[in-house]
Amino acid sequence: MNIVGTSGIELIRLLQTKKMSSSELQEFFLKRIKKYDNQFNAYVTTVEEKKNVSNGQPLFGLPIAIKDNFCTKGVRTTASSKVLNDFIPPYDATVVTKLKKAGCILLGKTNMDAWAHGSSTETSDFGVTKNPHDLTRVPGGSSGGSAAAVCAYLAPLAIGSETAGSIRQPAAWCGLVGLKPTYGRVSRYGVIAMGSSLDCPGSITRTVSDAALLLGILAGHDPYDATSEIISVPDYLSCLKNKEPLTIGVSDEYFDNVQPEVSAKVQEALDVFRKHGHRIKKIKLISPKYAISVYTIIQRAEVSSNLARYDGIRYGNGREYLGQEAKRRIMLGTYTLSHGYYDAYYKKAEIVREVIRADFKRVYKDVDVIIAPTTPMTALKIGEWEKYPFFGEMMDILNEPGAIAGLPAINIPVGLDSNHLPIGMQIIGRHFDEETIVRLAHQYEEETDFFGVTKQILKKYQD
Amino acid sequence: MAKKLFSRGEVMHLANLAHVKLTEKEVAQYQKQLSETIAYIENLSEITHQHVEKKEKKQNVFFDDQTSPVRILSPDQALANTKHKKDQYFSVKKIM
Amino acid sequence: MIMSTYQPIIGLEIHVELNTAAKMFCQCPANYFGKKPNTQTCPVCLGLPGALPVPNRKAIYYAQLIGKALNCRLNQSSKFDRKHYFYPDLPKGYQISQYDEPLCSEGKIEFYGCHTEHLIRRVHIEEDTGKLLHEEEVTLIDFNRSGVPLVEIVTEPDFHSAEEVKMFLEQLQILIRDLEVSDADMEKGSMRLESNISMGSQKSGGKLPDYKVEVKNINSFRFVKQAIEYEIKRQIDLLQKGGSPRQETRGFEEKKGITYSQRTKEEAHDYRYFPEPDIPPIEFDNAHEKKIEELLHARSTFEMRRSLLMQKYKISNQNALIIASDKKKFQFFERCVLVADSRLIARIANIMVNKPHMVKNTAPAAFVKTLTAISEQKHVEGEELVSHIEKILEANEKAVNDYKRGKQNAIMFLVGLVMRELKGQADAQIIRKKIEEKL
Repeated sequence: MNIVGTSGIELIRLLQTKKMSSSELQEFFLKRIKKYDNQFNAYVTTVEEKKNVSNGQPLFGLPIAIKDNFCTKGVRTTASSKVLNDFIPPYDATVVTKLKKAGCILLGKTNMDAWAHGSSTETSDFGVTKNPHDLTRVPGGSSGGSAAAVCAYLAPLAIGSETAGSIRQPAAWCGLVGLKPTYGRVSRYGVIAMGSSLDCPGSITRTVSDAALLLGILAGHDPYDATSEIISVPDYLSCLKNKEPLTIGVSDEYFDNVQPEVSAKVQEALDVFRKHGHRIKKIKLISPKYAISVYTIIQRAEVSSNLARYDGIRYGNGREYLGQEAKRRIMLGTYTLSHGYYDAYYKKAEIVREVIRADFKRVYKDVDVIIAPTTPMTALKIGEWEKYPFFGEMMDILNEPGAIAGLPAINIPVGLDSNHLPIGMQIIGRHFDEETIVRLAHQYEEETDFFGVTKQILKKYQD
Repeated sequence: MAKKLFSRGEVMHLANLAHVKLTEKEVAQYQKQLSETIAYIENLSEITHQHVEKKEKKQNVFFDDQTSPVRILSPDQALANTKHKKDQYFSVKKIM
Repeated sequence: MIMSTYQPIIGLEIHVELNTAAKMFCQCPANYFGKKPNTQTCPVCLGLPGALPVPNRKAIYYAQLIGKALNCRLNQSSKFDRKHYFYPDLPKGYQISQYDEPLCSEGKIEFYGCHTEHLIRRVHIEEDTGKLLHEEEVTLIDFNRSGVPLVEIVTEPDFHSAEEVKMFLEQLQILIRDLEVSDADMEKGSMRLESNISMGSQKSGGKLPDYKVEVKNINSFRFVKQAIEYEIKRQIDLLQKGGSPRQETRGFEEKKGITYSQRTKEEAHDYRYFPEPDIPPIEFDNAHEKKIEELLHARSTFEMRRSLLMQKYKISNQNALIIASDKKKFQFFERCVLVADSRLIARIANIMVNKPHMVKNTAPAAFVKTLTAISEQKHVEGEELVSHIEKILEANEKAVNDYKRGKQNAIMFLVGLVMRELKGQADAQIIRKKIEEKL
């Protein structure tokens, strides 16, 4: 039976009905990884060990790939930095604990920009990951490995993390569904910290239902994470069938400097929603360029602080192993926090952050979701980043405002450009309203099947 | 605000504070890059903030004062990832 | 010594290790004394990648209790901040502490015997670091202590002598022990002192000098006075020679009784404080403040006990001081009073203070029973006593003459005879007085 491209939910059905055993399925993916991953370099570490899955676990042994910034007990975790080259965590991140408890089997740890500092996976100390759609191009970042793995079906679904764009952007560039939940919806305990007030664990999947499935397992308050919200978790899968008409906000600022093909496909997608009775409403939001400044300051400050623990004494290698990008961010963060500059930079950034949050709150009085392109352009060629001085920030310009406000968002593929590269569109929701963005995305998927974007690519990588 | 240009001394001072070693090439690079970034983020001064409503009061998040063995590491686990240990201690070069 | 032109200006920073069960931000045991190295760590207090802090509620309440006992204002909004510096005993490269929104601010306390009120600038909470063990070639690190809750009490610089500091500390220690939040033992390290010392000149009229010397490593009460006095003298000597003390940190060397410079280079710390993003800011309402007040009243303080003894039980000042300073003594006293006749109260206090061996290892009820029995014996007094005395005096002419000639111990002999005659049922002091009167 050819299962290449089968969704997570479908695989669970196969496992549940014993059409396949969990070790057969694990073996299937490990074989594909061995066969194809030298082309992509999606994985940093693969786990060969066969795991037993006990009966009654809801995922029945579903294999999954996890981004290498999630601590996995007994399995090397590097954040794609040579500093942690030999680090084997003695504990599991809460996300990992929940997945194991639900019966997932870990296939391996996926490549990323080192310390999640980047938007292309090029800052990894373990080599760049290639985009399965075009091996001369990057998959995006920082969750590039997870995106490439799911794209080429070296994993049916994967866990990623996003600070500002790190799930949505690689999902967009690889033609997949990328879900970034509300900040505080999923526990950060065990996620190697980058931007403490921004980091969100999330997923990269082939279908919206798989994203809903994973969110249901991962969401919820964690007593080990004081920033995780004490709020009930809805049944996301059953929310999917909701087709009530919504008001969709669209802001001109989010179409500035966007490739025409990308804009066009997003506009076509809006037509699909119009057809289904949703209202499109023009909204005005503060220009994203301020969000870039806010994000740059807050993130760099938090990064400089979060990386202070890597001194090589208790684990890992010394700070001389830190890469260029890490050092650069640490330097800027140190500067904005240093004596005499805190008020002008960090404090000001926090104030403007509240202004941006309030701006969204105002807009959400009139709309239920906001739709925009996920990225201004499609996947860049490897090395092309050097052309753009503010590379990461420019790639993530459409993701940063929502991210600093902590809003949930989902990327879905809406077509291909003339280079056959995937174009992504994002749906941004209110705080803790993942249900609405997920069911709207699901409606689009049902209608269009993403124009075959997720499926066509697998023709290149059939067994 | 006038365009800020990072001096070599400033870059070295930051590297010192952050315990980061830089090559001469990196120092020059960072002088330029940091200056560019600072120039960009100056745009924040364009936003004159009106009074923003205070964040909603949330429940304080604490834990009850009880020990729990769940997360405690054995000495072997605690020391497993270090290259520098002696007996059951972590070790560093003698601090004066 | 020309000390009159210079006045010592001293401020204190006292760290108190709390006796909570768990550490400040994780569930490892907080009591590390005598434990084998690195047996009480977890991802949080070891600073592993990905670990996150969650605050210990009781530790926060204890800090507020201390603040309230020092008459501070309990701030309704507070938060944690990260304080950055690199040191091997600091696993995260920053300490979670409090910067500009501490739990308690602006208190004042006049301790018994201190004759002056001292102002408390702030009381806040933070986490302790690991412990270093210096060997020949290497320094060893034990993280059992990392993350233990510490309360930091900062006074205004309104101390002017070593004696003043010592008295304050002694009273503070009693207070902290009364609150039962710490054993506040300097030798064990659960109470630590840093003093900031500078010399102000009378001429500058109360303006604070532009430097201060921080003295650390004073590990016991008996060294507090010595260390501070040495430092004061050192600074005065310098100033008199025309020099100026450097702003620096100095340690105290116990054996030589001197302070010595600890920093080889002038390093003004840039701690790059910013609000701890992993812990949401904390809010307290009026109901909570009431709760802390109630907690305070439940854990009685020295001052409360002392007033109670003097006002309610009419115990002498002297005796009240001694009984009040030890909570256990006070509790013993109260239990005695519960079962004793009110006329015996003063005697109970007297015996507890002057003849403590009589109450050692004795239960209050048993002690009171014995005392009651003794006092119920008929006491010979007044006319009857006088007649017994006269009888003895008549029968002991030699002793009487000896006394008249100045031999003091003759009277003791006579008193003893009377006591023997009366089988102890009289007050020796009264007998002596009466004999003296007669002769």
